[in-house]
Amino acid sequence: MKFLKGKSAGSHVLFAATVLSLVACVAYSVFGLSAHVFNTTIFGILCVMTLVGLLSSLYTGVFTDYLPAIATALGAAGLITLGKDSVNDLTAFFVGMGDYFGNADNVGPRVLVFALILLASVVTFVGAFLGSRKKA
Amino acid sequence: MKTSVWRGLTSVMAFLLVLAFLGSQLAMSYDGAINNFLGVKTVEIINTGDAEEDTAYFKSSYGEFTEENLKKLVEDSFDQTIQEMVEGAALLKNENNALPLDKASERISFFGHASVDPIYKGNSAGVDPMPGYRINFPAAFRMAGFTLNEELVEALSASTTTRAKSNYFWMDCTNATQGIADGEDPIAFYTPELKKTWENEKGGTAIMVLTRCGQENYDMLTDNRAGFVKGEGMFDPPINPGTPTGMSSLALIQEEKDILSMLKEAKAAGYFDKIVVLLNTGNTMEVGWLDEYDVDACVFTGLLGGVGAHGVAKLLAGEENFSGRIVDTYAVNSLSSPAVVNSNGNTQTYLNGDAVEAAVIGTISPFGDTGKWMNFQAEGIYVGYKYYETRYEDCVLGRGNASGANGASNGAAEWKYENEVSYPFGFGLSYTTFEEKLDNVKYNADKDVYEVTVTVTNTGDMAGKRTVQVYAQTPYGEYEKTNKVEKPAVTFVGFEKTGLLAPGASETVTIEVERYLLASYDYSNAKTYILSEGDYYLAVGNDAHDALNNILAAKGADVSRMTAAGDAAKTYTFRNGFDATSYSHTETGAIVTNKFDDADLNYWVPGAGTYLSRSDWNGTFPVPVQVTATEEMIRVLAGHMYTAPEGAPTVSQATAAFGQNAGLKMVDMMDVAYDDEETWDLFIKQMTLDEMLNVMDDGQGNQWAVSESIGLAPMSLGDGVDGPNGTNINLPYEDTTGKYGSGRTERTSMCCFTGKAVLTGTFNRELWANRGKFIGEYGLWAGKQEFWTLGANYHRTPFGGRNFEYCSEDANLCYMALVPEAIEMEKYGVICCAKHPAGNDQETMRIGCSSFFNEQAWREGSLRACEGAFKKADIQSFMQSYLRIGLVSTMRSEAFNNGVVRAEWGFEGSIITDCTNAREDGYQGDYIDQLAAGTDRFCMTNAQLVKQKVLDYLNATDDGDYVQYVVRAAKNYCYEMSRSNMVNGMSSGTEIRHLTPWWQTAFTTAIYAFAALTVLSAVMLTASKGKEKRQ
Repeated sequence: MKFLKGKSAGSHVLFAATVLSLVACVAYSVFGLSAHVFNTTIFGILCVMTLVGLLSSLYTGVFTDYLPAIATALGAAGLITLGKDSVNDLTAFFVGMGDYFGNADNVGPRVLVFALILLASVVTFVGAFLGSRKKA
Repeated sequence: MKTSVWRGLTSVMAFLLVLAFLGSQLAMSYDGAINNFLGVKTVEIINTGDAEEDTAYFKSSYGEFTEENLKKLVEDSFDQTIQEMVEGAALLKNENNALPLDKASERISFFGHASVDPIYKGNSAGVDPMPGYRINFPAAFRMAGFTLNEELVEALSASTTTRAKSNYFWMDCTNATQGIADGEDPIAFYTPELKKTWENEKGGTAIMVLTRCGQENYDMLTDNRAGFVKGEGMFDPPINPGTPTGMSSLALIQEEKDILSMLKEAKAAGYFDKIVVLLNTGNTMEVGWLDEYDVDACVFTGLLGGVGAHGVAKLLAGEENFSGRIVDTYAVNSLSSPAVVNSNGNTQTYLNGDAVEAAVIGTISPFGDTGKWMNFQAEGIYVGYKYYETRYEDCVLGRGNASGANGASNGAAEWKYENEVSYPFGFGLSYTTFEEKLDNVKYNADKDVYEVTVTVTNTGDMAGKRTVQVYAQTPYGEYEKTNKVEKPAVTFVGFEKTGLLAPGASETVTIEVERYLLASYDYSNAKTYILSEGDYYLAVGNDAHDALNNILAAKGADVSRMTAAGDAAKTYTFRNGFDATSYSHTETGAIVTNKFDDADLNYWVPGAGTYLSRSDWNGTFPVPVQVTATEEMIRVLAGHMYTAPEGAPTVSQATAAFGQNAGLKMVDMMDVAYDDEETWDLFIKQMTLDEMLNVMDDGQGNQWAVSESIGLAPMSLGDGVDGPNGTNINLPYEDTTGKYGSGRTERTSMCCFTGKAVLTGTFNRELWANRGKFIGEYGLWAGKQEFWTLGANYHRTPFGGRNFEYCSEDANLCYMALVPEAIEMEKYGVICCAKHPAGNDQETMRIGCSSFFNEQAWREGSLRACEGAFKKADIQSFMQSYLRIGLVSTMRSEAFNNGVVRAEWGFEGSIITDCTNAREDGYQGDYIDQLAAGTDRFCMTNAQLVKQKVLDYLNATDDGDYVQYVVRAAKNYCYEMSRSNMVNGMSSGTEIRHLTPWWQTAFTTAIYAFAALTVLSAVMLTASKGKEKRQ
């Protein structure tokens, strides 16, 4: 964690959020591929969210302060896209009729990924509210 | 404020902005469902005309929508359910008059987990019974006054055994010792203590309840593998694949055998006087074991519906008499059906399935069409009794190698009817006996029917009703053999049911037999329907087998080779010459000729498959068939073939006249005939192309179709055959009589009626019609304009996952049974959308499976099953099937949609796909071809996917010719809706005002607010940063 040395508490928190988005990205990939429901849009959003998060915690420059907003916007996009992609599985879960509409077994992993993205977004808020520069 | 605060606020606002923006788009994709859920009104109807004008074009027969009137409706529909059971339950066995039971003296012990947890409705869409009105067997028998072994009922109710009701039906039930378990308790459940509950009180009756029911997307298993243990996830391979047993899931499972053995021993020990078996089944069951377990009586109860068990109690108490008949053959071994060889669990793949899959879909998809599955329907016309009875006749007459071993059950060296059939189609006992006398038969040329007059006399000592069944045999001569025209030995062609006949009373009924039903489709020579030259027989009989024996008696067959001596006096014989013209045109003037040559596998791969023929049973009995798909086949399977015709106008030219106000509103169109093209053209072209596309893409009431300019209101619908779902009426119901159940519900829902085989088995047109009447009534009360209901297929095999929602294995019975229901339902302005014509007769790999058949089998089977609903009931909508007709999906089958349904049968209305699941691949995503092939609406595309696809196509090609299909789709939807209760409350002066639901306003407000706050925060962040920098 040498690269975080000298960074502010906000940067540390933003890095934690980045780790969470990376975990969400990996979890989604594992789930999506194994359940044959991999959606490249969701994967892409999570990848970019992770990269932006990483940038916001490590990069210091003109745009540093805007990066958390981009990360959380991507988080919101990820949540909605995942939600849209989950409709059929949720239908199967609530209606109780396993069919081509969806797979109730997928609801658990989907909720997990959803929670991870939400958590990453909330942690990004916290990091954003904390200072980006370490006080002298 | 500090920079970090503005940075945080910017992040939060950006998050909320995107959430609100994309969330609103997602919500708009499901706005119809959200509005229905929230009960939000989206349209205001403003009447500016005569206030006195009666605009209630469709009225409830119960009067105003009040709580009191609703109670009458609910209780009448409960009575209907009970009566369906009374007249539809079939008594299969009743040794030594074991039934009826004496309520006063006989204590009943229920066995089988299904006694307390029966199947009320099939595993598909539809309404669940209301709480408190979901009556199981013990409850019904208790309410009827029987004395029960209550300790046993309590133990069964407390058992943790569950029957699978969701997902793959074998996956989440307990005790899956043999793969599929129907949730039966293991024998260990019946502990010595529990046994004392019947052993301490000798005598009484043991009632064993058995269940079987397939599910949408899943057929019953053709091999109930021993030791099968499912995988963790839906697509995980099984933990233990088990080993084949050769026994299907329609046979007894070990738990059931154990319980029946226990009951047999208990009866032998004197603990029970009799054993009764109830078949609470959506599919048929194999019941060749009844004698083996010393069962005294057996009753088919089918699926109960909410309160149908009361009907069973009445029958077993002898308060009502049995008059129901089974609508399927009960085979000793269901696997003996020739239709099973290549279907259900035996569905095959193309030999180059991977290449097909790569071309058709390109990706592995668990829920989509892969295109690699195929099903060669080698049985031809020999489905159900048409196979067993025809082979029986040929055995008796020593023809066609009928006695050969191929097709004989259990490895027998010789095919014998008595080894193959437990109960024939149309069978059903009564507590009384009847005598039928065939009085006369005459041909009525005006109606083109044979009028068969029969006198029925009740010769027993209890009042009862009797269904008089008429069967036909038509000639199978050299012409037929040469030209591959197959003929069943008997075909069900008509019936009438008497009223309640007191002992000794008689009633004369006249059965009208359509001459059309005596015709056969000749696909190889005449290429139309023919009436064969030779001797025709019309016979009455207790069932299909009895009628055939009567015909054989008339033919002078050797009685020693028959299962029973027939009665030639119950047969009428006449001669007919060859006729290939009478049914070569339909009433619409359309020519009836081959339209499905390419649905025959041999069209693509010559000599690939042989159809079963009675000219050589042994030599043509089906075998599994697989072929390598040719390049041309793969091209057709892949679809996406539509191309713009040469010389097509541009889109601008084609739409130039759109959006012109002609002063016509929806309500003005309610009496405009479909073929008044001029008026419809004026009406439809008041809409812009965009509005028409909204109409087309509004398959499930998403409310995109709402149009103020033409007064088109939103549509609301429900789904399900034996009681559609979604009909919540905002009025309470409570049974205060204790007759039906107990409990108060604040929002009354549609009645859950009995399963389709029960209703059909009543052979009572009044009950068929009343089912439609009640569904229509509920629809009107709940503000529904369309129900996806009316199961318009047939039981091609006993394993069909959705047999519970189709009428019968006999296509002619389906042809007759659907008509009264559909007619009555539409009288309430509720469009009867049949599902799923045609060929939706297996669930295994139903998405995209290629079904191959010859045109005789198709026309006399699948098409006949739904034909009546179109030609006689004039239904105005239907939902297509998933299976392919040959290589082409029903959704893009021009031959089916336009050639048969519209042209031959005169269908006027809109055609909707089955759930597209918003797919963009496989045949489900072939929207451009589907619209061009006659499809009008697209189910569950969400987010206006099809609209966008059509716009993309039009933008890419500027193909103005294609616009005609959009216009046709919009017309068909508007035509359908103009005949629905949507027009209630509307007059020529009515205006539709679109109301924006509050949640949409909330979303819009949130988007603007969060956008402003995001910008403000970002500006303040920038300013703060600047300030910090300056400092």
